[in-house]
Amino acid sequence: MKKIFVAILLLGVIFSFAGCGGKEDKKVIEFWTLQLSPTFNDYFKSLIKEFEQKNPGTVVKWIDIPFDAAIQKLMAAAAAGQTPDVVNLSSDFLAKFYGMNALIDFKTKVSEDTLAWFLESALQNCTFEGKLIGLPWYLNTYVLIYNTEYIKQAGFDEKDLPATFDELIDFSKQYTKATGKFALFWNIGKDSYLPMMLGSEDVQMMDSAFTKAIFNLPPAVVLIDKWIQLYKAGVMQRESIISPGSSIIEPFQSGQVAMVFTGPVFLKRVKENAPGIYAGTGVAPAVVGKTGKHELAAMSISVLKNSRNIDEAVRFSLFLLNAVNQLKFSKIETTFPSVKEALADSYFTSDDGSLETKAKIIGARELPAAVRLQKYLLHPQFDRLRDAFDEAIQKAALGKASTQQALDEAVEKWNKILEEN
Amino acid sequence: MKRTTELFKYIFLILVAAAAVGPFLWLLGTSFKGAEELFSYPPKLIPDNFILENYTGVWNAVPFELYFINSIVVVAATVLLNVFISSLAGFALARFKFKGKNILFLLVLAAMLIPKELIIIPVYTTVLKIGLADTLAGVIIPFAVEGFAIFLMRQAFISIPKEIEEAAIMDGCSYFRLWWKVMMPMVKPTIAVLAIFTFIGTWGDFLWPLIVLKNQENYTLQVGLSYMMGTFVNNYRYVAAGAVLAVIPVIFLFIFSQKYFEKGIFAGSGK
Amino acid sequence: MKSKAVYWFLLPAFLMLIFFAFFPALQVFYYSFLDYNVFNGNTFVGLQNYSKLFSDPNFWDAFKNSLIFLIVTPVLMILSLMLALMIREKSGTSSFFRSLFFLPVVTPIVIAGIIWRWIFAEDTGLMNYLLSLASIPQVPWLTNYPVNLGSIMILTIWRGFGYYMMIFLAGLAIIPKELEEASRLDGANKLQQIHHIIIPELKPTLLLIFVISSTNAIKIFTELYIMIPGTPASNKTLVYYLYKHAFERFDFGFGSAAGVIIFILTLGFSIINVKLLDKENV
Repeated sequence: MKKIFVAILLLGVIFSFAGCGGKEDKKVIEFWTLQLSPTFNDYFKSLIKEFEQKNPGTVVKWIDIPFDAAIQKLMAAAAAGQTPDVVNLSSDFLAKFYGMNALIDFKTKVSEDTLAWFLESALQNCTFEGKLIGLPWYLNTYVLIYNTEYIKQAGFDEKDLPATFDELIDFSKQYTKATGKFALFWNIGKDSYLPMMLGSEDVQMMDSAFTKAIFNLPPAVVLIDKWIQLYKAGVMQRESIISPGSSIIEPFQSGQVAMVFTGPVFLKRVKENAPGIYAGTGVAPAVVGKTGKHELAAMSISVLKNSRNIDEAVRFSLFLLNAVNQLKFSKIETTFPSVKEALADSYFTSDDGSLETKAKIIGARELPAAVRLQKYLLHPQFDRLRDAFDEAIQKAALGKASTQQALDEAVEKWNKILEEN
Repeated sequence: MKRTTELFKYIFLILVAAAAVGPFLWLLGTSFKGAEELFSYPPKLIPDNFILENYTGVWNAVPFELYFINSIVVVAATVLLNVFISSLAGFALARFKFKGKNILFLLVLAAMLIPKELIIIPVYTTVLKIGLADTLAGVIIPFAVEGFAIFLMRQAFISIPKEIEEAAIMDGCSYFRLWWKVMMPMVKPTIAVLAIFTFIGTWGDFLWPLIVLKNQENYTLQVGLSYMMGTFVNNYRYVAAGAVLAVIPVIFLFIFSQKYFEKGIFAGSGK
Repeated sequence: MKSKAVYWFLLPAFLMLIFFAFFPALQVFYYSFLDYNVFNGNTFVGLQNYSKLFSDPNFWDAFKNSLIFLIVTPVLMILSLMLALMIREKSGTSSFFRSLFFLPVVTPIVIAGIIWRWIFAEDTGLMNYLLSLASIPQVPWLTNYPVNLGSIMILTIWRGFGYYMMIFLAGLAIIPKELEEASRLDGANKLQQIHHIIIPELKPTLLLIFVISSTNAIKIFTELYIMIPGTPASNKTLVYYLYKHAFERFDFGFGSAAGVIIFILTLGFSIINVKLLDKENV
């Protein structure tokens, strides 16, 4: 028994030394991305190789992590002192990392000329309280994806497709009347898109100083109530108020609804999982409000303050984000580059007749006018704001309170949160 | 009268079996479906057209054999460690009288109830400090021994009659021999259950291997398969095929252990 | 038995638990007193996390909901014991059923979630479809609280009965066959056998399953995360509350405080159970 004891002690001692590897004189940058493997394996391998050749003395380690446990992995690495240097963040994560003061302000490291590469609106998506804590990477905007068969069966034509939110409401009502089924799947409760609608209709949710919420006043109440009534009238699926935003394409791809508006990148999923539906799918510009503006969603690249090689990290980020590399990226999947030069490439106007190309062309055309419509997402407590709003919609839609009451409660919660700053 | 109870018994069993098996059958069916059949409404359990393409697809989409072997290594080591170490402790808590026995049992319960999601972060820091980050050993060791396992084995050892113990000691048996040669064989069914549960838990564990591993060569199966469901890659049929492949070892293990769950496989007393 | 040797038997397990369970748990307990920020250093905030916790109505809703899930425990125990008693024979039929009942335990939760979401889907799902055939009004299985808790309970029972059944089968298999033979020869019928031989012999297993099942009920999370992640916070349970704050709000210190409370609650519950049901051994 004693022998085993000693063996365990020895192992412990050995292991505590195992951590000390030989020191390298090369600078190592860890670059983390969100679920881009295996699709982009070759892309990153060759991009990294090129960067290392152009920057001898720097080595880039690429690590891709699945969405599901991204936060846990990031926090565990950070807690253990192993933060990545360059990290790809979704807009939610970006806001959270801003709140934790974890990222560098690119304005201090990147020249005005270089910043001019990027779409101004995309840069806005990454600017929190004046600080540019991320550089926009691949972008997404919304297109209307619809089922041509179903539209026809309901007695409609392509030209009848709604272009504004008001038209969308009327269309949905008529569609349900004609077929007894649901026209549109749209998240109005959890991960609600109603703020996006308000933004597009030029209705503000907060006053200009971001200190008070005003969405319980007309015209916001009126617009929101239209959708609550639509839900209560049974024109929308019951799960529209609790389904998370990430599953938006599912009711469309399983043939339950006639249309959905989301990013063109989801067309591939429909193609893979429901080729029958895909064969009859069409795309059109997304529905907009009075302003004609579309929502802009951006994935970003950030550099952590704790990085030991900030300059190399910035250099790598700019290499990753340059026009050439972003164009290559966009050609692999239907996403859009954040730099003007890449977006101007003929790739985004060339048509090969396929559905995905059509979506690409529509999206690229909308992109210059796309902007972050949901301004509250740039607030560090955006998730608490979002929860309060979402829950108010759920309450009103389930008839537990009138729309006005529910929104009044949510506004109270918002004001408390906004005061905390 | 007896025949009606038998009949009701079978109806009940069949209903429960249907509910139990339904989702799994759907999974199985989906793994053999072509894309056209995936979303037929109402959903079809059995595809009209069986294809094997999903299996070959998922096998090639990720380095399947490598991940599979990594998972086997992790699971085998975890099962062995858990069964042995927990049985030793469970035996001690069940059969001995000693000071602090109740406190130690309490600690075992406490260990079982610590929320794993929270301690993952400090455990990772520890693993890093002892140099096991990004290794399979780092995946195996921290969670190899569970409070639940010790509790389970303790309850099993409690059931053994005192006469067994007394007889063995009178024959000059060492405590270790008593444990290994006499009592362990008597609780084989519980050992089988523990092995199976540990297998299932470790085999299906996604979060901890994800946190510990960085190099894709070390990935276990669940981590590898998680890449099949993302924005750019989201093929439901491949996911189904991957899930079926992942579940096969567990099913085999269960089938082979069936005899341990049958009534009265052990004689009561006597060595 | 009494001997110093007992400590050798306990050593490996407790060494592991000290390094990988108790020590990290103490660290988490420490975090609960901090405003934890991995990137920018932690600030000591004393009991602030706890006072925020106790003044949050969502926490109390979660507490209430976690206790509501205890309903599942007696259902699961009775169902799995019944099934175990029915299929413990050495026959092929029994073996067949044992394998089938085990399937929900090995079906990946993600897959099970897809199916059960379809079963409970309110417009297009199986349950409401069957109800409509019988002219019964549709039920809001997922959107309505507390009906959605009931739907989750059904899923939990489906996932759990095979698991507990197996533990019962093992416990039953350990019963020396002489005991059952003897009582049968004495003329006891099945029910009397169960009452006089089996239940007493199963006491240790019953305690185990009761403690596990009840603490699992209080700690229920995954099923909610898969089936109804979008419902309001007032529909959720304690571990969901922990998860949301630690890993969606990135407020790890606060999440740790929630974790400490959950731990105290479940440990307290278990101790009471053990003291009541395991008198001989404790």
